[in-house]
Amino acid sequence: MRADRATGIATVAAGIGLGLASLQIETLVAPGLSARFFPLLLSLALIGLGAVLAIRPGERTAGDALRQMLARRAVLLAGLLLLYFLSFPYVDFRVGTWLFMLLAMMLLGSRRPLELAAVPIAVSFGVYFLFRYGFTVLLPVWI
Amino acid sequence: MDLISLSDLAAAFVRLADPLVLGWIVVGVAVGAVFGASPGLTATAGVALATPLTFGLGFEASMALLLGLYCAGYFAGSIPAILVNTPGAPGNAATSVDGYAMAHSGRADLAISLSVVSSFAGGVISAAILMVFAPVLAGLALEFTSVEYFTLALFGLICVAAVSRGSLVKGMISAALGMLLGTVGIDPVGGMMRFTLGLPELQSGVSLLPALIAFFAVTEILAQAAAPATGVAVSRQQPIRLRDLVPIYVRHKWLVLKSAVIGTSTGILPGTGPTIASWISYGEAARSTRDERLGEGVPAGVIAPETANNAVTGGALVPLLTLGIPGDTVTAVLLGAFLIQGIDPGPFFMVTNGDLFALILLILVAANILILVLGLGLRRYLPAILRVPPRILLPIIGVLCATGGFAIGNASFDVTLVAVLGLAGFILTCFGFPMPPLVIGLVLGPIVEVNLRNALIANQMDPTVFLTRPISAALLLALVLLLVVAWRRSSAR
Repeated sequence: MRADRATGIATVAAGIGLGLASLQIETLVAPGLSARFFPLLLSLALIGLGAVLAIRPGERTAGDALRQMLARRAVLLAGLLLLYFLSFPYVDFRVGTWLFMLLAMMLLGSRRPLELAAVPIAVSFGVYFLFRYGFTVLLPVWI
Repeated sequence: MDLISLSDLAAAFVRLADPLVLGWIVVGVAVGAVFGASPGLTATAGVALATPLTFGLGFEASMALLLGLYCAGYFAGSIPAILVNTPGAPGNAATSVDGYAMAHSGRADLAISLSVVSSFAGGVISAAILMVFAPVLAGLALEFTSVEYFTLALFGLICVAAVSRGSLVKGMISAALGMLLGTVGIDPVGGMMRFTLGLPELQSGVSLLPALIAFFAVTEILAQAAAPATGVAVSRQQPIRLRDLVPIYVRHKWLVLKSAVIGTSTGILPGTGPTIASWISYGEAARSTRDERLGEGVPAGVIAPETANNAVTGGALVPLLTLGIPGDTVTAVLLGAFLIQGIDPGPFFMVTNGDLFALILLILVAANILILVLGLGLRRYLPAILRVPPRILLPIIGVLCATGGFAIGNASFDVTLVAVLGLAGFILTCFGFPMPPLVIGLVLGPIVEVNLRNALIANQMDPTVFLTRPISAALLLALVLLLVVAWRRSSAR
């Protein structure tokens, strides 16, 4: 299947879904245009544009797009980023950042012991001190 | 409206002379150079990451940091374009044609020097044009009603969608998605909740800065991780003397001026930016010099695009400062920085904040002077930037994304928002949806909505008002022509 056809169909479905969601927005009984007006207009635009994309797709196949999206390094780095971002408020910044840097560097191909030992510590403490004392931002810390 | 008053200019000079402000310009230029020179990372990503840091800074320092970053980011993309044929940003693609050919033949030092001096010339000339042109446009802007604001915002939005890389339809879908994101939160007219998913954090809408960090920085990190690794060697340079540049610029003085005018006027048009400006200038260089060696490594091929793409910086600030409408993605982020400082750019900005406007101009000039000094001084060491391997650079950017997202409001929700939107942006990118229209849609969506509703309500729901007012009608006509051209180009591709 062509990538554009798949995304076109998905866009039409998203447009319909958002259109239905727009109809759930509460409105005031008053003159003028309601709060639903603009989201509905955009939902209609999405449906129309999605249909055009599905009818006139480009050459690229959905497989190519999925291969890019599901490239091993990208998926693992996305998972690592997600874990780091979601745990950000709960983990000591210096510990979390050190661990993220170490794992991300290993994932991206770093194998030198000195690099793996020095860079994560330097970055975690460097960024911490920059934000804490340079920009006076209180980052999450345990101690 | 008159030109900037001498008292405003003098006050701005005093503010600029503060060593702290000058220091922040140096920091901005240095960071911008790193972002601009790193392929995949752009000036937009740099400005987006730096904006949350300006919470703790005053107006002068934050503008010094961000405008320094903005100018240096647009310039530094030419370094990898010249050295390894990999433009640091799309706006430097035209430079790589002759620049890389020069580097390949052992004249990398000359090409980088030309790029530095041309960027300086473009930036300074555009600041001068901004000084003269912006007050005139600000006067015109005071006559604008909701009708004109709606059509102008729509024009800017569609321009970005139409000129983005890839398909026109996908650009438009991105813009529509961005505008839909912009509808999240309390309805600005009626006060009703929209798409908040029951989350109180979303009542004030999707914050611009986390969205910018997500769509530019996080998306780019993942896109870089997904791309196959390429090993490209940096060419060795043959050193040149700076006085060798003088005869080259004497020969190409009109090309510099023309390219600066092209860059500035392209920047003024919302949704255009450095990519278009640099290619138009390159085409103009080909037409006017009639040098058949253009494309094989001649100075004109570097001078024209580099002058034009840095001249965009001054031009793009015109619609931002006079109408409150960002002309490109970087100025969209700068709009956020203005709001952080409690300053609302628009028709009254120059009337009420003449000294701040003068300060912005002076910072632009100072940043360009610094680019000249640093660029020429460090031109033989600049390739070292490219030697920071992605395995170190990408995780550092990831850390800065999370920390920057958190620093915006000391809120963990913003960090989660960066993660969720970043992943969504990456998926959209994999399927060929451009990010700039999405971000511009998020910025301009609320402006489009409020002015559309106000214009219709004020004119008894008569939609023909958009055609009967001359400026609005002209913009709509230009929009239709643009869409036709973009559609043909997109279909041909």
